[in-house]
Amino acid sequence: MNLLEIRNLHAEVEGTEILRGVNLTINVGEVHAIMGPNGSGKSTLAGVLTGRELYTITEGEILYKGKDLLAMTPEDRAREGLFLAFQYPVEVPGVTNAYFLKTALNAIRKYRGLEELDAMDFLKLVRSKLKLVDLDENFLNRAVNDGFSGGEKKRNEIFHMAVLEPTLAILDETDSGLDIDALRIVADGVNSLRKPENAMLVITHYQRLLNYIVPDIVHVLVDGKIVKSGSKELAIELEQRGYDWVRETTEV
Amino acid sequence: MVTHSNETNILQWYKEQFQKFASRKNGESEKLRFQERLTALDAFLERGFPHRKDENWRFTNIQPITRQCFKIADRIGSVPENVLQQHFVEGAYHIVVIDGIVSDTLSDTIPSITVGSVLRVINDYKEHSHLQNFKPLDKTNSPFVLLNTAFFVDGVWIEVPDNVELMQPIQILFITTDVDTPTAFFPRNRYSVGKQASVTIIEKHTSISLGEYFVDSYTEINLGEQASLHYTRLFEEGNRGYHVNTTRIEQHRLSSLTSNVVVLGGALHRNDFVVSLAGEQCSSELRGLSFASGTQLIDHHTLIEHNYPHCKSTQLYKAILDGKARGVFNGRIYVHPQAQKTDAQQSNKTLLLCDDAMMHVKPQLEIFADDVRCTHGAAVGQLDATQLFYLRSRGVDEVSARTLLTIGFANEALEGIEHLPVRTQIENVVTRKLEH
Repeated sequence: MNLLEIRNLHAEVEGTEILRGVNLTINVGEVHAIMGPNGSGKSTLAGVLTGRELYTITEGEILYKGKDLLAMTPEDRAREGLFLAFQYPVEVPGVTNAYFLKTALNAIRKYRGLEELDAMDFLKLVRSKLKLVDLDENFLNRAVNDGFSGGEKKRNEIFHMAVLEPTLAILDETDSGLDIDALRIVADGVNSLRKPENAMLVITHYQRLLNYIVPDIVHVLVDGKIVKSGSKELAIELEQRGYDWVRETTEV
Repeated sequence: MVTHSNETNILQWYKEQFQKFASRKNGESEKLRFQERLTALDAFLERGFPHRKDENWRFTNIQPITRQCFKIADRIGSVPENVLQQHFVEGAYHIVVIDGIVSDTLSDTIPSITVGSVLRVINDYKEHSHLQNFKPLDKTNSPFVLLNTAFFVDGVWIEVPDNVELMQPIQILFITTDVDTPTAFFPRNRYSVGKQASVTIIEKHTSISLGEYFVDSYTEINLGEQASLHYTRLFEEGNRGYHVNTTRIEQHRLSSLTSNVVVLGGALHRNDFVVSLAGEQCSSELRGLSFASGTQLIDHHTLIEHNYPHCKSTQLYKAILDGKARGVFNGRIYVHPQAQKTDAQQSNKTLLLCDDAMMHVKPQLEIFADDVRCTHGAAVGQLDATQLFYLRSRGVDEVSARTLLTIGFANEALEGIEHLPVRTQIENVVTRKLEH
């Protein structure tokens, strides 16, 4: 069964149409990459998938595990296994990383009929996950992303992902603002979470990230539409020839 | 005209109450004190209750207090043991004040310091005039302080001798019992922390009354040279309780004060907090958290008087307002000409959970020295939509996400509370109130 099926998705922000008929199917075990120039609709797609209120869907549908995704609240989408690693992770002063994550994890577990974790079991779980992204334990007691460096924020997102173990993870420009060392840490973390029973959608502007997180399929999003799909080599070609090449070759 | 006659009536009421009160006080050992009561009463009758035309009371409607004839408390009720235990925090000495009177039987004795009933201490120390009295009466004080001076019966006296460091906090529980008629209480406390002494005092003001009552409390605190005081106050009065509190703190050279005030309950709460920095290199760290819902009103007036050079004061007052609640923050900083190198900061942040709630903020900086650093800032806003979405996108439901963010907002104002059981108690009350 398809994990995610986007059919002819149209979405707008304040009356401006951003997505103009996106079609995309993702199966479990696959890693898809979406590349595209600035303003092509990449982040809008991530926002629509996770249920951000900014966007209005004007046409189309999204099936996730065969269910109508657009009818679900953001929290239910998360509980069904959807996760977004934010392009700009949000600072939440006054709320510790540990407290937030424990609340989130237990909300998800409860939804799935699993027993909630107590403080001890939770700590045991998160300690091992911190190591994946090389974060110190004191990050647990710091307020969520508050005063974190750019690299720390991105690593914290992957840490959350590791704890929540999503079925479909969307990584929105996870490489932006990272130096090469941080990029490697983040990518290693992501790769270790890659499993046959889950899937990922990697959104990026540059091909660089895809050297580390190697996708099965690459899509090119231009002006709110997927105009080209192919193997990972497409990303390299795109990097060499630029987005104008795609525009030219697809216009009939 | 109607207002005027009502006002005359209420003043007449307190005049009559005083006569009854005085007949009970007939045996008061100390003539001087009685004279001061009379002077205070006369000054009060002359001034009357504050009016909304008074700049200091512009946003605070005290009609619930002035339109009611409160009986002066003349009996001590009882509080069930389990209720006391509920309010006690772990790891602290407990002092219990019921209906304005210190209960010796329910209070702990504390080694190496003097603590107990103000009345008893005053009587015991008759010979030492410096211990007998509060600051001399100042007729320009707020009418509520005058009223307290006239009617006070008891309160808590704490005296920490020089060089004594008390590791375990002192918790004082002020609790009013069920009243059949609207009743007024006038507790009056005096804490004195000696040179190089250090102490943590935690006050909790609450009630088991469902009826209408009015607490007019007054506290005087003196910090000796290099003394240190951690002072936490939690006001959780009943739904029909009105509390007007005035606290005056005098700090001497190199002393440090950490003050945390949390107001969660009561229909009307007014807090006047005055810190006078009376020596060089003092530090005062003030934090406040108010959480009002329904038609509650919570008003904080602070005054930091920088009289000497090289002192530092910081203020962070936060308010969470829900329903049709009103909040007031008036932060006054007065820097005298000689108080060079003053560092004074003030910040007020308000979270509005509802469109009908309203906050009035007034920073009031009066600076007469030229080499100082004084800053102030105020912000009023709502929960951040991006933060809310971030939390929800990780599986937290909307209500829980709102609670989490609101607690997060409050946390910054609770950071100064070092005794963890108190902080936990406060966080629990805030959470409960949010879930309502």
